[in-house]
Amino acid sequence: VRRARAAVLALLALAGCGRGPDPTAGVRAENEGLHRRLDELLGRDPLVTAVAARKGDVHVAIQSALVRDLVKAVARRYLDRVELDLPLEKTVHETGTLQTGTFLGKVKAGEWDVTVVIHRVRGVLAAGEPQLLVTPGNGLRVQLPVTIEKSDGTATVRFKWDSKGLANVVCRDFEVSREIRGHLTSHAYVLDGMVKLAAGPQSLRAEPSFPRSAFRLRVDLLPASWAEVKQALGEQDKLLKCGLALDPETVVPKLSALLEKGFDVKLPLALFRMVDLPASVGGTGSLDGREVEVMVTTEGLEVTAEGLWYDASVKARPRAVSPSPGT
Amino acid sequence: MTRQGVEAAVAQRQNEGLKRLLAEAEKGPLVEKGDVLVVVHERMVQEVISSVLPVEQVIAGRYRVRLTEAAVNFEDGLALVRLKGRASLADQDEQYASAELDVAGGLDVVDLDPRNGRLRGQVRIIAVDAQAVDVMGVKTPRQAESLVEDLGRERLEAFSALLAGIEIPVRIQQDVAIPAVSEAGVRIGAASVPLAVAVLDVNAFRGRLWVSVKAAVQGAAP
Repeated sequence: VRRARAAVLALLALAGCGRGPDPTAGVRAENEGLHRRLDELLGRDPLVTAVAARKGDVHVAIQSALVRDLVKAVARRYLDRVELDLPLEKTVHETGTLQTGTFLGKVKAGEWDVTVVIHRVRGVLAAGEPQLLVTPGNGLRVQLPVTIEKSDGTATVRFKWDSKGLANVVCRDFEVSREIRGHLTSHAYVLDGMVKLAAGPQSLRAEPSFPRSAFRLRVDLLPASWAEVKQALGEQDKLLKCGLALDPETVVPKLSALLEKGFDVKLPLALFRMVDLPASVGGTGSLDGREVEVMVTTEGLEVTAEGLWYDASVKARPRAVSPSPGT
Repeated sequence: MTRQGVEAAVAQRQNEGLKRLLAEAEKGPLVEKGDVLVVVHERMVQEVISSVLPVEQVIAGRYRVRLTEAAVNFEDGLALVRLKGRASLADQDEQYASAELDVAGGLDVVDLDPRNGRLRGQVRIIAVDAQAVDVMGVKTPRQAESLVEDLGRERLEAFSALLAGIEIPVRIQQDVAIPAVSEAGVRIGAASVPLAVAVLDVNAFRGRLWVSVKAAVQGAAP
């Protein structure tokens, strides 16, 4: 093959270009010197040398300040308006013995029993400012304060009186129950768990891992339910002439203390979901609109005090075009 | 421009790039870390370009160009993309007249595509060399020499169509999507955390493209 050469284009007005001995020799020699000097300076740059030591075709580094801001913003927004609807059927229970003074001295009047079954609690979880701490193993420890607001729930309260001894003559046993409504008293809780930073098929991910710790919920009745409880107890009191047994003034504080003592629940695991971070490698690339499918192999993922490093190798192939219907 | 001319144009661009990089490096670290740093090896861009080769297209309405080879070199401040192939007349058979084409361009990462957050680069053509081809030792036909001359009269912009835009498969999204949850007693509405992202700085050296990106959670304390 013999080639006939012709000067076809000249974008840059390079003096003497293409005439006589290599006109670029001077520029090339200068470039070599500049390159050596640059290489020397780059050799002292810790970031450049650190990247050179990493494996892969592409490296993404996210500064720790941004990772923290992101995890905080996601945690805060994610858990800021969580509607909980917990079918609990939780029972709280208290019993006691009532003694009363008679002309014979102190005698056992009977045994009382208060049982509350909390059927269901609905509430809205609100999140506060999370605290983050980098931990070994590509993780962040997250401590997120939350409060339960705007809650309501349904329960059944049952009072039982079992007269004993002499009291049995004048006070009959009784049992009364009422359907009541209440709400959770607003308390702050701290969700304490880990967010593990991991490489997904195409993106960096934050995978939460929170132990199913029990949280103590405390309950108070709505005013209408308190009134109903008091009325029910009062009726029993009059009917059975057993003022000492279940006097509302005595029992209501007991019930209140019982509800305030609360009960333990575990938050559903569904509360914690994986979230993709905004940096990703792979999917498709393109060249003048011709799409290229890119397969990614993760080469490394490292969380340091300075930030998150992700390294990947890629293989590209033209994206397969699906045949149009009818072809 | 001759092949030697293409090399000269590239050397001149590298000279400018080297002087700029040295001036910056003398002042301090060359790479601005940004909030996100993306370092793309020249292998990756070559892989993307090579995977679609060969490509054939008509430029300036009259030349059919078939590109068959790509070489990418990120060095000395120049993100060089070199494409080789063959040009012929669009309305004639390749046997009638053809020329070897050598196209040199510089990849500038312009921005992040606002639709998908992908790194979007644009190649600006630096120089083009065309050489007529003889087949089987037969003297170069007049038509081939004429083709080379015609190609020589074309403006560089005409060749931009060969390699105008590259999307590098690295994405920095402008929001973090938070999926909705509705199961087992929990309901969480879908939401997103918006981010302000922009390319801060781009450099090419040591076989890599160094892209610094500014990214901040919108509404977060500075």
